[in-house]
Amino acid sequence: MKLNIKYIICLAIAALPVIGCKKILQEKPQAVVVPSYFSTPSGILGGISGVYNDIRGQWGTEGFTNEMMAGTDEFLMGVSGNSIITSYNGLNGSNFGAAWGIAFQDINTINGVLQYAAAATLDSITRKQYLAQAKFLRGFWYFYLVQTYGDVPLHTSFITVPTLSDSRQPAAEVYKQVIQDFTDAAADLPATVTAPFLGKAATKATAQLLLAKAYLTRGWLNNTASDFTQAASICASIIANKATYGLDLWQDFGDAFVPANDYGKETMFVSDHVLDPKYGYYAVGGGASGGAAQNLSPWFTNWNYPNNSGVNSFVNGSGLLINSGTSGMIRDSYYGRPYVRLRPNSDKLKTGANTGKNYFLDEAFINRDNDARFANTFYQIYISNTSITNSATAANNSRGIGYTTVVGVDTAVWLPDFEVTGAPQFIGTRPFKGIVVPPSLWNNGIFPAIKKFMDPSRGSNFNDPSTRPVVLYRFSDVYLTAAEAYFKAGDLVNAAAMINVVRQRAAFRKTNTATQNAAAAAAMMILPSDVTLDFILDERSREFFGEWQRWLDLVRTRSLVTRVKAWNAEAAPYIKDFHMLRPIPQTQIDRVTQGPAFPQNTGY
Amino acid sequence: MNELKRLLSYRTMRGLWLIFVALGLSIISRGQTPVKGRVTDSIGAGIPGISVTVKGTTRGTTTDNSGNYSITVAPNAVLVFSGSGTLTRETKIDGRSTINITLSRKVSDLDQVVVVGYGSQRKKDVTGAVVSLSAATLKEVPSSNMVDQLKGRAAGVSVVSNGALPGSVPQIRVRGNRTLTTSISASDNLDGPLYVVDGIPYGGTLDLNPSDIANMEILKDASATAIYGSRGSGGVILITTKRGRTGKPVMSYDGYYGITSIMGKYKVYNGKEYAQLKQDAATYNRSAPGTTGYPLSVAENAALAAGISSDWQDLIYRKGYSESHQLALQGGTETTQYGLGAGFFRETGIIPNQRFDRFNLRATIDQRIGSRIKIGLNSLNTLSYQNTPGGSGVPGGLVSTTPLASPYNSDGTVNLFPRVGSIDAAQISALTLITKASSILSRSRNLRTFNSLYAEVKILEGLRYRFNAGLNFSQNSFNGYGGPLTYVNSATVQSSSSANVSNTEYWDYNFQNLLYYDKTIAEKHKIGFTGLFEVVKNHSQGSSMGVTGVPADYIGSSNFALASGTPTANGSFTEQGLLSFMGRLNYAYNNRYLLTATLRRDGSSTLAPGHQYFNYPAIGLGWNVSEETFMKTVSFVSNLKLRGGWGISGNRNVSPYSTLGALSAGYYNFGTGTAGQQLAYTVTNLPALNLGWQSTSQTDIGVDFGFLNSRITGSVDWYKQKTKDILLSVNLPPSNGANSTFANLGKTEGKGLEVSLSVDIIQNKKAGAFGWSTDLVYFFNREKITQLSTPQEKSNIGNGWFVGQPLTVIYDYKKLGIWQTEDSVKGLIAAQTSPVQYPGQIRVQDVDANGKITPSDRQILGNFQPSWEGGITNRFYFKNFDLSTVFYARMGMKMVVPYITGNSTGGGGFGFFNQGRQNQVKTNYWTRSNPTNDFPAPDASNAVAYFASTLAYQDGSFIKCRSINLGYELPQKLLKRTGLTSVRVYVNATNPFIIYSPFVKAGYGPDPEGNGYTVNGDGSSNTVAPTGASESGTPGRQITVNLNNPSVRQFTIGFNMKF
Repeated sequence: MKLNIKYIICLAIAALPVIGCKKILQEKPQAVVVPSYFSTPSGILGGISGVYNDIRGQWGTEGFTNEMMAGTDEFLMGVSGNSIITSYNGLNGSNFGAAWGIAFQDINTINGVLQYAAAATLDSITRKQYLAQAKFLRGFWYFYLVQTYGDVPLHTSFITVPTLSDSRQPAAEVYKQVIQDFTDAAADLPATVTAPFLGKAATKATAQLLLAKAYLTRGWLNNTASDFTQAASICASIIANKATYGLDLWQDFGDAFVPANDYGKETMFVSDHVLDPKYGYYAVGGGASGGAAQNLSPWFTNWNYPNNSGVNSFVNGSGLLINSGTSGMIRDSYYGRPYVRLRPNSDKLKTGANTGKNYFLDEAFINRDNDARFANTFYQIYISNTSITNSATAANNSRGIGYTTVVGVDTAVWLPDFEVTGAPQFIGTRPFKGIVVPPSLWNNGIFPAIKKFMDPSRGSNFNDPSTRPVVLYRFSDVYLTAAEAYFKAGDLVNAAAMINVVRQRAAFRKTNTATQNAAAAAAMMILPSDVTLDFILDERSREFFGEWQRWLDLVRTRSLVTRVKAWNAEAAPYIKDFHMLRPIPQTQIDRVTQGPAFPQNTGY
Repeated sequence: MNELKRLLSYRTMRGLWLIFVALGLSIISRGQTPVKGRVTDSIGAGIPGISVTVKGTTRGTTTDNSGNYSITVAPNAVLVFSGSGTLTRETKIDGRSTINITLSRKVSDLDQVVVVGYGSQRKKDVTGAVVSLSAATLKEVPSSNMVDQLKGRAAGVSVVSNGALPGSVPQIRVRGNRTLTTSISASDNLDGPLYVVDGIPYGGTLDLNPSDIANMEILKDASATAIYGSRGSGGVILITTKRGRTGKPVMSYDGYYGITSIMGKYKVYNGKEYAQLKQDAATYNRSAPGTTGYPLSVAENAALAAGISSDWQDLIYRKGYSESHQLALQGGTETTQYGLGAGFFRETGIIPNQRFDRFNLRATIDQRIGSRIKIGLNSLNTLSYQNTPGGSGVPGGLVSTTPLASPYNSDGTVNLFPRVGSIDAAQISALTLITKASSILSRSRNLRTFNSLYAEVKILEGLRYRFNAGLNFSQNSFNGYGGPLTYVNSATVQSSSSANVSNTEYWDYNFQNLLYYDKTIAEKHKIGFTGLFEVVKNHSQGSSMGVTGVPADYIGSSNFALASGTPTANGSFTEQGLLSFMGRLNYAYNNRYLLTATLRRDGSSTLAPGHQYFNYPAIGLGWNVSEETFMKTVSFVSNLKLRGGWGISGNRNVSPYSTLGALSAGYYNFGTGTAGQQLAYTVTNLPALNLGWQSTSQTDIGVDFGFLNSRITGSVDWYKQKTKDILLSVNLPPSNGANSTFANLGKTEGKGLEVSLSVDIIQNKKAGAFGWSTDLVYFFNREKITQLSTPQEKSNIGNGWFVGQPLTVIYDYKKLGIWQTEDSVKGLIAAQTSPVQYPGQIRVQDVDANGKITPSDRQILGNFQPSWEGGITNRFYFKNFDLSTVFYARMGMKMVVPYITGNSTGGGGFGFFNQGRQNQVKTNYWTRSNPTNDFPAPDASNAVAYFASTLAYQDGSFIKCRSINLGYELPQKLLKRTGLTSVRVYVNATNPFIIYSPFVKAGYGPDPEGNGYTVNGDGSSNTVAPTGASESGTPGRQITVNLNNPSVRQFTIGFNMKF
């Protein structure tokens, strides 16, 4: 009896948890950030940071780097490259476009920031700063979109209700918005970086430079003189106030690329990458697999030196360099990983007006004696980093001697920018311990690599991504943007003056005596009559080779097709006028399933 | 709610008091003693019509409809209980006044009791489409996992392998897919079945010891599954574990020991062929003919000259071992039954050091208290370890490693860098999986305790209240470590070592309050009612940490404080609740006409407020034709039943917090200092304020039959299901900012036919004679999308959805072959202006014939729905021998083989396929002297060939032998002195051979069944996007054949013993 009562009590207790069942249907997330957080002051700041974080997912990564550099006069395909994007053969909506979605995600986030920042409890200084940053970033992405794709959807308010339709707005409308946003941002951004937007986040000068570029680009599009004069005067104002902004050129062009100067006076705007495992998404020894927000820019234009530097390489009957023997180099962080995606356009043209010439040495960097930028941009010497022994009887060793290379002393590879008799194993008749590879032997697997972005700080973890920031704009761009604007406005004197500032600096070498530098500077001076569009474009090549500028430069100046046809034998057969705009990503077209279809750019 | 409870407890109390009073009043008289009691079956249901006689006399009585009897007999008499469908039992009274007896049913198919949702029914009375599988059937295929045992065994149940790591669980679908989704995990959650163990939802079958299973019922149609409401649309698998039984303690041991080996290697080029591939890649280099960036290295040239050709797969793959030891004890008295079980299972993989270990402990007790109360507890406890160093992708590296390298140096040490001198020189030898085993750890430990309790009170005659509680707790911890200079970490310095740990705690509770009422009116009207109120809550919370720079390999993941790197951390938290009410009415008229009607109402926390509740009605009808008088003359028909049902069921559709939208969270550092560190957010998921339930309505018509005295039995089912308001993560046009949102969109439809047939071909009438029986299943499912977001929308290319097509299709260019030299001569190639192509490249169809291949030339190339599936099990008996064989087939569907396509990174597909950079799976590629249409010419200049994705789609059909099992029952006379009751020894072969597979025949891989998905767990894709289309040609949910661990076959020797 008693026993049974006990059980009844137990039963009743067991049934108790049923009480309070309404509560069970309420959701209380604890491990995700929900949209309501976005309206708080820290959420607003987080939104701005989120957009900066997205930018580093593009600049410095492989796909975006290709988008900004491949298929131009500057680059041909490296052996591990993608021939569709370098040649335009079959190029379509799948080849580019990662940044399309990111740009619009960021624009929507920024529209949210603008909406919430207006209402949030912020002090007026902070609010102004947040709004200015937000407008800069919206302008930044729309400027990218309109240059790359032409007419694009234009959203200026926060979208919170999902839709499956969208439409493209005329580029003129987009430019209007871009110019408005940059104008507002330039008005309210501080002259120098101010916490929390440290490093080289957007400042007044950055917004002004982009505003000038936006005017200039629109000017080219519509041939409107007022846009050119606007652009020129904005640049002039930046230059006039450079001390206020803490901006200037380094005396030595090479100093702009020294890691210690990444945040120095010449750098105007960067996307940051840091060693911190959390804020930099960096894992020591994790390697870089691509796809993540990792700075891999040092390597895309690197040749495969750990494998193609065979000590007994020789020239075959067809005049081709054949790799043979043990490689004189191993992979290290100083020379970087061999991605071999793109290479400087050094192939001699076989047809056309420029027959017998190549863009790299005979056009862009023709004045290598006085212009220090060639030497400061490319690796020409690879110092032995592994000791190898070459026997006199080794296959294809025609030197007739055996020897062992000394690490840190011997040159393993020398890529002279002129022809050398006896190459690759001799200089003249003198045996060379490494190999000599003059321009005639350069191919898609061996060529001078860009050294501007190299990051030796990673030591033995040479497969890790670079933790240097990616520099989007340097101060010299203000001069060359000004020069282009003056040129289009018909003011060749000022155009030449601006170009000369950059060229004078380019003449300087630390290793020269003052006299030598003065002589070089004098030789570099140009006259107003020298200023042509091609000259400006060549000058930009010299100054910004590999700095994510080229494709947009050629598109802005409507020169893409002519320059590619003139200089790039790989892409010349395929490039068409419609390639001046990139194809709308197929995803966008496929996913607009309601309302009118989303049109592809003509030609694709 | 409280009303109901008060009522319940009032009724309960009153009912109980009545019983106690009655018991207290019982009178004992001398000489003749009144004895009463109840006769029940093994699951406690009263059996009517059992004859109760006094042994040696003709006196007796029969039990009433509830199984109760009373009789007056001498105190020392013996009672004999017997019935037509039961075994006979005798028991001595020994002065007792109450004798409750459990009678085992004679195993007759129709009187068999099957478990249905929230209760059980005679098979005869079941109106739904239910497959029953016994432990004996499952055991015919020894496996670590019950899902694996179901391959080809149940009509309408498709089981497909998706990996071959020790401890992997195949994908299972009951009657196909219903949901539009592109993600794997979502697909399994949405379209997979609900597992219910002893009445309580279980989730994750890996922890479940197959040896603990006594019986399994698979509810397929909505009339049966609607009772599980929002969790029922994917089918419900009801598992009954072994429980105690009245009688002497019986101890049993089941064990086996098996050897596993790969079903085959990936066929790769040998040294000479590899050198030829490189040469051909140079020859057909389109950018710079005759050159290659990936020539043979100095070491490779030397190896080629020396005749070295290493087979890396041979060096790594090994025999795996599996063993299983299961001890069980069961017994009990009439009031107390108990069952105990302890088990150990171990499986080692074919990749060194990969293993899965599982320990199980089971305890179950059922106790009757008085004549009205019964309580019980079942506790299933599992501890398992899965250690998979190298993961599933080890073969990818083996395939790509150059054969022109010696695995070992001349001094016998491992050649650490077999690819020395090539661009991939940093890759470290796979042999480090063996030599540096202690530096590679990837171990997951799972501890789980699953407890189901019940208490049942008989309140009144025919009225029972039952309380079920499910208490489930699991804790999973993961430890990983990758030391430098190993296959998993090619970095060279200790500072690059990485360690990570994670910990997840999960619990759920499930409380069910059930009221049963059973009554038979006028002998003919059998009524049963079930009422339910149920509450479920799931909780999961986890954290994970990672660090680099562990100072020494032996430390592994044990102490992050010792590491040079800064640890990074992650966390997760989800909770969801479900509130349900259910009522069910069973009615049977004269055993002939059957009706089951249910209504369930579910409320879920995961949906938007205002849209949280949904009703799930169902009705099932049955007609036992063979019970009709007019059938009595048709002697060859022993059973004929027509069934029909309709119902609505659903699925748990969205994960918690989906309706709220979300910001993606990240970090950014303005500058290099800590002052610039900021949390970063972007808006990526928009709120879905109107998110409601998805529902599937299904109609099923079936017939169960038995002919020739049940020598031929079987059933045929036809069904049609319609799913609407499908909960989708819809990919949005990127230009609207957010990438995706959730919405109730779209409709799908499915229909199919299922046939099960069992034939006793040769009955073994007397012991030892030859016997032969066959089970055959044949089924197909046809699914299609009937509507997307609007009736006007006919296709959603971005997600790969097309109205009128199955739920997953291949949408890509159609490969016509390879451009041939004569096509160039004829000007056919030149007619295609974009892209400009050359002989040796893949030729695809220009659908709109505009000379340009653009995304609009893509078309639907096929799907993954078999035209039919089936299985056949043959069982032979002779003397003490028994032999069973299981064959199964899936025919007429496509498969995706990413590794014969290629992409540029090797993160998926195959890195640098046909580029000659790495070794690869052997294919018949084009050369000028071999103008094939199979594979394009290799091209050193291009990592991804034009239209390479079109190579991935192959015929996935297969017929396989699943298992052969030969057993021998030791003769009783041998056992006499041993104390053993029975001993069976068997040998088994699992997956011994493939009978038909075009894919295997072509030499592309060892097994047409999958071993991965289109999209990996980490989000990386295995397929190459069609050239010109940014989205993959196949949705991510699709199982694919990747360069992962190949499938295995197993040879086993086992013992079943009873003491």
